[in-house]
Amino acid sequence: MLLQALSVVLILSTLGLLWMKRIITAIKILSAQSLILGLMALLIAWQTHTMDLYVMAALTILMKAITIPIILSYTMRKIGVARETEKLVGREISLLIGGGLLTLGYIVTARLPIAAGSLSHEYLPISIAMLLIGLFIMTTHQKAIMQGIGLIVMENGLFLVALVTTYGMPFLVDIGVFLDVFVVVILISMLTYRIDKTFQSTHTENLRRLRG
Amino acid sequence: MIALLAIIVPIVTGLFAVLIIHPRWREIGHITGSILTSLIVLVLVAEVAHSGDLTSKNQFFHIDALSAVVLIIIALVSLTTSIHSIGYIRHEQQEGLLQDWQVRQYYMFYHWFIATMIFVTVVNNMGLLWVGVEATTIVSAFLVAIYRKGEALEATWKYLMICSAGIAFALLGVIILYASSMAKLGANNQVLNWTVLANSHLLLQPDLVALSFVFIMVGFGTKVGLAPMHFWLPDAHSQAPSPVSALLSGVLLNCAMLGLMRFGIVAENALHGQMIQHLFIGFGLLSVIVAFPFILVQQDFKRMLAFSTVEHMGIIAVALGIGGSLGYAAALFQMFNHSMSKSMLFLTAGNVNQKYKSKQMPRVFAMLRIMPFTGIVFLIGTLAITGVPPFNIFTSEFSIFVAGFHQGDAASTSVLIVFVAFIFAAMMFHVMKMLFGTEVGDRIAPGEVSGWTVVPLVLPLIFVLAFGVYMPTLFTQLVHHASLILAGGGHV
Repeated sequence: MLLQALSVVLILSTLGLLWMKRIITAIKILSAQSLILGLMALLIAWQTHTMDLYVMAALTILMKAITIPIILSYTMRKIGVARETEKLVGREISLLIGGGLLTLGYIVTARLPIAAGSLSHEYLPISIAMLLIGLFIMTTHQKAIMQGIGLIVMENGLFLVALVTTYGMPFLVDIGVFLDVFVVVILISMLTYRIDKTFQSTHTENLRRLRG
Repeated sequence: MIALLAIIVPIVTGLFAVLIIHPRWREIGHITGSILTSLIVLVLVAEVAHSGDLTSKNQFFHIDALSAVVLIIIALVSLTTSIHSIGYIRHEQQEGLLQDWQVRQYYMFYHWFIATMIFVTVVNNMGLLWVGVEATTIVSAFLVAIYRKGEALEATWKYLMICSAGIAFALLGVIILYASSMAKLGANNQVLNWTVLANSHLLLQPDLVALSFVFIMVGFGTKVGLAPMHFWLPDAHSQAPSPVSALLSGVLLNCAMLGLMRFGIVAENALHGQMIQHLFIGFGLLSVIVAFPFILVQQDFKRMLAFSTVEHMGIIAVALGIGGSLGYAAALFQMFNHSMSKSMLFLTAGNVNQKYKSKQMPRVFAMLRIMPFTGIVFLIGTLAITGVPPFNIFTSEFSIFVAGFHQGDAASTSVLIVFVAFIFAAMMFHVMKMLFGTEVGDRIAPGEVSGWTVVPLVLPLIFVLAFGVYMPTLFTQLVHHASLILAGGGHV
């Protein structure tokens, strides 16, 4: 029951990212999303008595819900005051497409041979939708840091896929993926800062010089 | 275990390079570390060639003939680029393009980059293989961004975003594969190991494996630079310092291709259909076709070389799709030959760039007169890369064509031949102007930039010249073993 409630908040937070206007708010939502993900991992760990999952849950909350948002908002502060997002598609249409992607998640996973009543039967569609919405954010947003946030949403979706289908990947793999994500975030922050310093803006419109 | 040493040595060398302030000592450490890394890697290869697969006691590392082929490439190319780096970086520092702290960063990430690539080739767990490939992206992104100019930042941003998003889909594929393998074997840490999954008696669920491989093909295909996911490649290759371009094109893409091959073999065992062959041939042909117009209209010679890399990755993918003992062996030969010629070309491109202070082809002229050695090497490299006999790539490309007709893929092989011929014409058109073109003004004094950037070219040159006419039996045997693994018969 609790798991279901959490998953509803999870999908709402993902859709919320499509609605947000200010980047700082988006970072907060991302933090909340990761926190929920960590709690879900904790619940599943408790239900299945998996030691590894406890560690992963702790790491998710510590790194994804706390450290990564701190790094991102630090970068935002360094660049300047709270900026607004800019995207190719309007908020209303984004949200509509988000809903469409969620439906797509259900359609795609309905064809898979998964036992009814298993965790993956219930939560796989949501995780696929998160993956797709993350990709959607990456492609439609024009601010560098929002593209990075899209990438983290994709990563969160993948974490949920692994969580509900196989109760997480083998421990070392999970740790490795985590480490990669963490360094990617640091790199994103560094690059955003550099891009801002060079172009006086983090708008990726400036990143159009290399063609052909 | 030697494999562990092969990863630790470059990591330590990288740390050494960033901590040592004195430039001379840093360079000495850098070269010593590089030579040591290459030697250790070659020892690993020799052991595989001599006594077959190596698996560590805890099942963490597994090195077979397939990894050995990539390891030889790593050892040779990284040694060449290391020596070249010294000359290249010194010159950039003299020109004021790089500060001392950037140089320290360069050497650190350079060695870490090599460590991650070695990790990808020797690791047994295929989840960790994914982690390794993502790590190569991150570490090399620092190298691509080293100049911190607008275009370098743009290239890095695209590289990081496209490759990370692409590889995320590959992770989805890995998770699905893990789920289907867990359904068969139960939960334990071994079920993602290559040594377990490569077993053809495993009989995983075909639908899940097919789905998983589609995601993996897209994900690793992005990293390999197959069209239409290749957009990051020309940017990153043209903006990175030339020794790094050589590593990206000559080594990194092969590591990603190795991952693709391994997952392909696992999927092949479960599917027994034509799907995998069609995917490889489809993406491969598309890459070759897409590369041609971009090479034709190109103004920037490093971008031209980058698109030629897209073409060659396509050719290798087609060869893997064609399959058969000849096709697989030819794919691996092509991989080795391409690495030698392309790394050589990118290094010469670096020399040209430093001499003419431009990457634009119209600004480069009379190369044969102004920098004779680089000019000749560039000419030989271009002839080799476009598949002219008697150089190395001619032999492997010819074998691929023969294999194609032999296996009954006449249509796709014909398309391949036509586009390889087109690309030959397009590249020769550009390069001839660079080599012989008349001078615009008399402002460039003849002479090479430095000995450090000329001498290392000899190593790949030997292979480019020799492998067209003769290959040592030890190497052909190794490739033969590797092609058996690809055919699914060489294991378990």
